[in-house]
Amino acid sequence: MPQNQSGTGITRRRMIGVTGAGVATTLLAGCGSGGTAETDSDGGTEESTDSGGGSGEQALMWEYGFPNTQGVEPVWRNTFEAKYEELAGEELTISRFAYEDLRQKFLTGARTGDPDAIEGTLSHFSEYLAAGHLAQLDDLANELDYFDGYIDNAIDAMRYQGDLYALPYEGNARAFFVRQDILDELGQDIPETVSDFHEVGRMINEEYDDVVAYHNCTKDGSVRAFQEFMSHIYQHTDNMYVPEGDSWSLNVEAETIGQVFDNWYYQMYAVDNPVADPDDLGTGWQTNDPGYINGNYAFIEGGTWIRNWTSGENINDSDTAQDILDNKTQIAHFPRGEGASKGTFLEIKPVMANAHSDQLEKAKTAVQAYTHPDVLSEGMAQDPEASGSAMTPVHEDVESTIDSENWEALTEIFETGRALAQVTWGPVREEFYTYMQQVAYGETDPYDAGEQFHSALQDLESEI
Amino acid sequence: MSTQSAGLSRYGEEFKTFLSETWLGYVMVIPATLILAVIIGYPILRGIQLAFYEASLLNPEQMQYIGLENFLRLLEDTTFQGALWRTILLTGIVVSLQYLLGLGLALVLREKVPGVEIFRSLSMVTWVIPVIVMVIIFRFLVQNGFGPVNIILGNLGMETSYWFGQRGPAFILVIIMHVWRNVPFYAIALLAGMTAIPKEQYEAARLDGAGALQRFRYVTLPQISTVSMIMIILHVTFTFKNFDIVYLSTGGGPLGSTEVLATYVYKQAFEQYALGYGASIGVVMLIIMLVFTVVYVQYESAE
Amino acid sequence: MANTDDASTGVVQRIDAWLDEDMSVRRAGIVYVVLGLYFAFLLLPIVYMLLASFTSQDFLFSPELIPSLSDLTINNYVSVLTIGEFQRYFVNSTIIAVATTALVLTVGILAGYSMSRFEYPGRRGLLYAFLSTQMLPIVLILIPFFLLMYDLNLIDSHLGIVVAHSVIGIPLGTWLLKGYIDDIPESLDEAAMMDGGSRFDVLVRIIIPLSMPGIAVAGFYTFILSWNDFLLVSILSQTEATRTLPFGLQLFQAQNAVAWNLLITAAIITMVPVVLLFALAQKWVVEGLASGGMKGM
Repeated sequence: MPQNQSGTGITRRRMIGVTGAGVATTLLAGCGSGGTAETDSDGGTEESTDSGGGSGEQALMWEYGFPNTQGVEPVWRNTFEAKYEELAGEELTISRFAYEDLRQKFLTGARTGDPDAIEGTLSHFSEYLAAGHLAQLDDLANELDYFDGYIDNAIDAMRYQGDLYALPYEGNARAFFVRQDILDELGQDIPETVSDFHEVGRMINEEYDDVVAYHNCTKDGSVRAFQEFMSHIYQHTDNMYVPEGDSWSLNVEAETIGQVFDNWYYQMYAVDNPVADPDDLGTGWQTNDPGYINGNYAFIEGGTWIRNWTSGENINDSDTAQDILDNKTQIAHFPRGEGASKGTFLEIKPVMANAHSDQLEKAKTAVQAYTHPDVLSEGMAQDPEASGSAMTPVHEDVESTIDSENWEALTEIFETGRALAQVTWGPVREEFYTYMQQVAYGETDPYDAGEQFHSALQDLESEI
Repeated sequence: MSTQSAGLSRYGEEFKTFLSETWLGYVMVIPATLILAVIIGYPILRGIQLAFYEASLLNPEQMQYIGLENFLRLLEDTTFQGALWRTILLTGIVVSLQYLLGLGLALVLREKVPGVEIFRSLSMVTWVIPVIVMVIIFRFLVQNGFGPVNIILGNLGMETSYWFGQRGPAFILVIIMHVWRNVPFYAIALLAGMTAIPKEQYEAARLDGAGALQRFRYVTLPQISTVSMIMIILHVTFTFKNFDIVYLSTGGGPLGSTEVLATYVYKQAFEQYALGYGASIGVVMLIIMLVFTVVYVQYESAE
Repeated sequence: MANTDDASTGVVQRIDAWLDEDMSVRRAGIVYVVLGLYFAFLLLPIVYMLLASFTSQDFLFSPELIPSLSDLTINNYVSVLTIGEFQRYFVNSTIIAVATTALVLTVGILAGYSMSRFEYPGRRGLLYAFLSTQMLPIVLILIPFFLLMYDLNLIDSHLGIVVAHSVIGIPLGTWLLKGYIDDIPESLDEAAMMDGGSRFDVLVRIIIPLSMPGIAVAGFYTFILSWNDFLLVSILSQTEATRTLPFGLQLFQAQNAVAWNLLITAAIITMVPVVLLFALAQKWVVEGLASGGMKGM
């Protein structure tokens, strides 16, 4: 990365800012709409002009973790707020943003010091880290007597070059959702190899008019599509990139990528007798999850959140959905291709503190409260709207909420999960969509696409 | 002001009027100008400046001047060129359809048939739906299996598919969404323009023996030419830089078949972290739009 | 002016003759058919939305076209309307959209009048400059814009959002108003000034009343723009206190799930005031001007 000066830029910006503020205020006051200014005294604007005093202002936290069903008591959120109050002796402001907005806003504006704490995903974590927005949390961890209780691969994902920059609160691994009832009717076992899966899938497509064997996400830009792809990469390697000196080194063969493309995209959509439905090409999770829950698909790749789809008034109150998830679904490891072993994409959700916050102590307290085992077991696990979130907890003091033996395999699958390395994944994802769609739409031979994607990934080694 | 001697010549008086008139003109335009200059002019200048730098989203404070390198890269970037062509094509098709359909709608809404007020009131309804909701609706309509469009096609024995996932149809759907959303606004603006035409002009034309089509061509069209021009430029700009309709519906896919400049810029800035390169694409967009606007406005006023 | 040397004149006159003939009934018939076609295209997706807002999610995911009576429910409306945050967003949206419209119309009428009636150097260039501010995708200027608003202390405040929305509304509003003002004969100005009126009197007594349709269009345009904006609010809003409805639709979306029926219901509720407002505005403008407006002069 080029190093250059920008100090002048900031000064100029401030200058214009100051003159501009006067102008704008005068103008607006003169134009009769200044009245609105009086209504906006709350929020984070006031303290941000203090020169970093860290005064008595409430901390601000952005998150997207709490469930959001309306009209139901938010058990988890309440527990969190109570815990924060207990630790900090005051309240905090929580603001909810969808991940996409959260990421965009934080990358744009974290330097202003707001928000103080932020919840997110692992790929956000790598980006915030690379941008220098995250405060180190080792001193906080040292104060926590329960710190050792977090599971190892969750904590590992929160570290960068040995230092801790986040604490985990939720973990889930991608798993194979299987319609056991359909397999039973056909007298088939859960497929363990990809070729068995293709065979069973084609059988289902032949025998059933209203069920398609499989669906996965192929929409351009779909985060879920990338995660599904990574699940299959993790069946072959522990990490797509491994650190090498100051840079990253690609740790997967072109042949392997080609095989994953072949098994999970080419055979699914592009061949003459496809396992999935080519008419579903270009869809994302909005088709995937409801499709499975409504009985349209026999297999999908999913996670614990699917359990939440039937609870509350939120999504689907039909008996069909309940029946499919309670009685007909069996959770299993993904079928494995040649040379593959058990492995899957592991999602660990981090909570982080803004390095630019002018009240870092409160920010850390928010991180502490959000990830506190008490909050996880008394809040998350007890919240009927989040019953999926605590199925595979990240702390040993929290009991799993799995209550059906069909779902028990999740615990074991969770242990085979690999978390994303601290790579800035944006450019990798962009390349992925291009080659994945080329394969799924039958434009490019999967192994050729594997070659090309592989060399694109190599080119990215120094950039990410 | 009154210190000027009364003995000034006629020219002096005129000069004074000119001065005060000009002064008044400036004063009235200043509030709008200042707000724009401060709130958006400055960020735009910074944005243009970025086009000559290499800058990363992850570290925007550290930027390096690289001259025209970003622009030279554009010359070799086939994805950019594809997106540029597609954006121009999309804009051309969308705005032509919108204008023709909008004009047609304005003409029928002008007719004084019983109940036309209801149609007028309802007409803007597509325009006020948040884009995200419009996209959700359209995605639902063409959903494979349970989308109404596919249910109907299926019953007719025709091919069904998730149409946003098919290369040609995805582009057509993007066009349809643009048209569906904005036609009413054209209609209302043109209708307002037509309403302002004095009835006497129609009477005069009628007395001259002009029929309905001739009256439309020689009275209506010239009188709404300014509004037409404004609507066209407004929507050319809107369509050319539109991001959310494409991004939310197809993300630019499948296989890049709906990738437009705005989605490409977004991906450059927020996925590739290439702020400088993204900005250079923005500058190209700005130049194209400015040239279009200037040429079009000159052409219209020359007429 | 009505005479042409077009070869098509013959055809044109034939069609005209036919149109002018027995009029009313026949013409009205054609108008209704055309209206029918337009509104089928425009309204079918909306009808589908309305249906969806009165059914449970199950219907949406079923391969049925028409819901059965037992699918119908008003639960969605009850749920959405009783959400505290939703009511708050509604208030925020209203305050912001009204203030933005007032601001844009005020500065827009002044600027439009100035550009239409005054001669001064740089007038045309200024208009281009106004318009050019709309030609860059906002994502590109996001960071400098955010930092500027931060320096102006306009983050997470209603005022900040109003100013930001105005910036989008002013160029087009000004231009639109200038266009309508251009269409007002200058002889009216001159007549008023002969009577001893100042420029300001002309503005208040002639320009504003006569450009009402334009003001209504520009005002409505600005209102909608502000009411529907997502991006700028998403940049400037840091807490619940400044959220507006489109941004608030996130209430119905979670990480991996969307409550489609509530989302669509909320969208419909979001639309209702705007449709009502437009119904009022258009009646006042289109009907009012044609009859009363012109007599005022």
